[in-house]
Amino acid sequence: MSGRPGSRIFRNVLLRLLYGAASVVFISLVTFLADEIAPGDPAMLRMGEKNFTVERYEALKREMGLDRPWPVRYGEYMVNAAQGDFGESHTGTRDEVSDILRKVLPVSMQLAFLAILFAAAIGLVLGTVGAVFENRTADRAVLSVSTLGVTIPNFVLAPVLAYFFAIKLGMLPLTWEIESKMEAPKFYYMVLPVLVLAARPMATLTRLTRASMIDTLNQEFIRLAVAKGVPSLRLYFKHGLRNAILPVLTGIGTSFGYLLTGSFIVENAFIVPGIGREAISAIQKGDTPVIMACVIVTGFMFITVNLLVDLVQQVIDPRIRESQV
Amino acid sequence: MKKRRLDWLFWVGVAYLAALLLFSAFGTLRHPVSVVAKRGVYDVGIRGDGGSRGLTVRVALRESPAAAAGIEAGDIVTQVDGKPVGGLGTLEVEDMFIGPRGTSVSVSLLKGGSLPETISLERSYVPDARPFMPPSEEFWLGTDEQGRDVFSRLAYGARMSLTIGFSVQIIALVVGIVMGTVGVFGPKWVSIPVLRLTDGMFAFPDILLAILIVGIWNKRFEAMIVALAITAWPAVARLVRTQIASLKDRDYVVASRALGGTTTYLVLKHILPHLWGILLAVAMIDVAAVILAESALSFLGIGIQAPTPSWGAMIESGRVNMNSYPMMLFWPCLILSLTIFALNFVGDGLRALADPKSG
Repeated sequence: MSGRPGSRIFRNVLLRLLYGAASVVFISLVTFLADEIAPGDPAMLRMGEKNFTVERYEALKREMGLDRPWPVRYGEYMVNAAQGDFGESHTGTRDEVSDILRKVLPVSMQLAFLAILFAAAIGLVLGTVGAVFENRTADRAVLSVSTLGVTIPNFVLAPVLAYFFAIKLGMLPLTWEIESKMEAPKFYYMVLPVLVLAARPMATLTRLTRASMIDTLNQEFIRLAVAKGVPSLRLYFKHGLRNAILPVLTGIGTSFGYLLTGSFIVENAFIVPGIGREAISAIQKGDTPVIMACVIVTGFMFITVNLLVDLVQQVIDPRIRESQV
Repeated sequence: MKKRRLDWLFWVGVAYLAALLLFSAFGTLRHPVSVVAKRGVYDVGIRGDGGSRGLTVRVALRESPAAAAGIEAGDIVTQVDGKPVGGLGTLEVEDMFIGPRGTSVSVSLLKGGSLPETISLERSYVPDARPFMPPSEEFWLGTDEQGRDVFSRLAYGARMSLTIGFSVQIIALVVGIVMGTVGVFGPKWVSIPVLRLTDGMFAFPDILLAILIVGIWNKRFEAMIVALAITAWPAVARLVRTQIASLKDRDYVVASRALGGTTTYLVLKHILPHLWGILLAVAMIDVAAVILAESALSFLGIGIQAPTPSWGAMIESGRVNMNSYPMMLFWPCLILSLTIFALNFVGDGLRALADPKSG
């Protein structure tokens, strides 16, 4: 590559950022248009059928800004959304959507963060074990567990685990409580949701780690290290895993998307007051502004995490670092 | 090169799917679907099989008005409320029997060769009114929280899942193949937007887009089909695109083009035939994904709407009642998980056959 050192990484980062921005625009545009072509007329809804007159309808449309073409309204919606203003809820006390989000997002983020941490930790260990004992009993066990984890849907796993751990064994609370009413420390309430949420990412990360480790362990420098007499733990973790971890990082990014939609299931199964539960109850009530905000925010987080993973990869991949010199 | 052979898991999967197909077709026969699907309907207690002459009675349920009136197995119902029922299907005839409590239905009967007689039966029999009945001869897997037969509901759920899974996947395959092909061979002003659109769809994590569409379109059934198809096609398109990209510069394709083959000819004759195997394999696994997505939506209460039975909704109601009636949770979870496993086994087997390297 030509140019100053670092110009290539700079260009890549810029491209990723542009791509991320385009994705956010795409998601929000699709969401906005889905609302636009959906049946139901917000002005009509607010006025109610019995008060209908053409003049008042037109006036209300103007007042709500619905008389302008959709691209203008989309632009306005996005400008407001960027400042954290998603309008107000259509139902109940007409809360600001941003207030609702501020209440539910931290809960979901906490769950997702714990789940991905747990999934990555277990996935890396199991994957490494599988690779080290390739085709032996331990490896087969790891493979079967990860196949189960990928195949069993979370909405099956959630009630089944809840049945055994909460009802049969009585070890863990069945559902989330309001924080003031929680009897056990909050940690106990999080165990089941995090476990269910983490199950599939854990399985995919295990598979990724295993495949990547097997690749790495078959390379020359590992054989050299073995010949030099590097102790085996140090060999596997320092020499092996460090090199095998790149594809796993990408896996963490894509798993995060699964975590986000998985939270819809998990939060509804365990009655956790997070964004997934809020979105579903908004759908039940037909509360479009909240639905749109939840979808856009979820999509935004997915894109951001993938962007971060991409950027981290750019920075730590030695092949890119070396190519700059 | 590895020998191309289907492993036993593939055949287990195929056998399971065949059994599931039979189950979905015949599992609702013992109890009419309308009773399964509607609450508060009453029946006269006749179970039979439709035929050209009429409905041949298989059994008049114990303590039902039909049994009280002396109807027996082997009798043939020729008319219901004056309408001839010869040639109608079982479900159609059974639909005519049920109705609000206390109303009556007149039934014309052929009893072992004697002259037809017409009797009036009061709709008073509640075939499955008691909730949470344990498994019995009548209800093989017991009844659910509204007293509906779990066995028929599972079978009806199988019908829904298989129909939705395969029809959505067929739509996704058609759209995906067209988009994937156009993305490689189309003129620039078409192919570039198509490529961007395909990639853009991946910005939506998992089934978020389906949730959005179903949510905003007010939980309609058609909206769910569209939503699931929209979620499923980009993966097909991407697969087709990468496969075509690796095939299009092969010698025989280039040769065919040099001989004057048009792009359409090349695609249809030389490229797509290579893709069928891998597409079929991936489609099987994607059908599993569609069934999962549908069940997830139904579990969340925004997919298939009650009273139509679906596995996802059964799991949700089983979850609510699992404290006292864990079996209500067990059956739908089992059948759904087995179905997903079977589809994956079949898909994996086909993939190993179509693309030996991947196995």
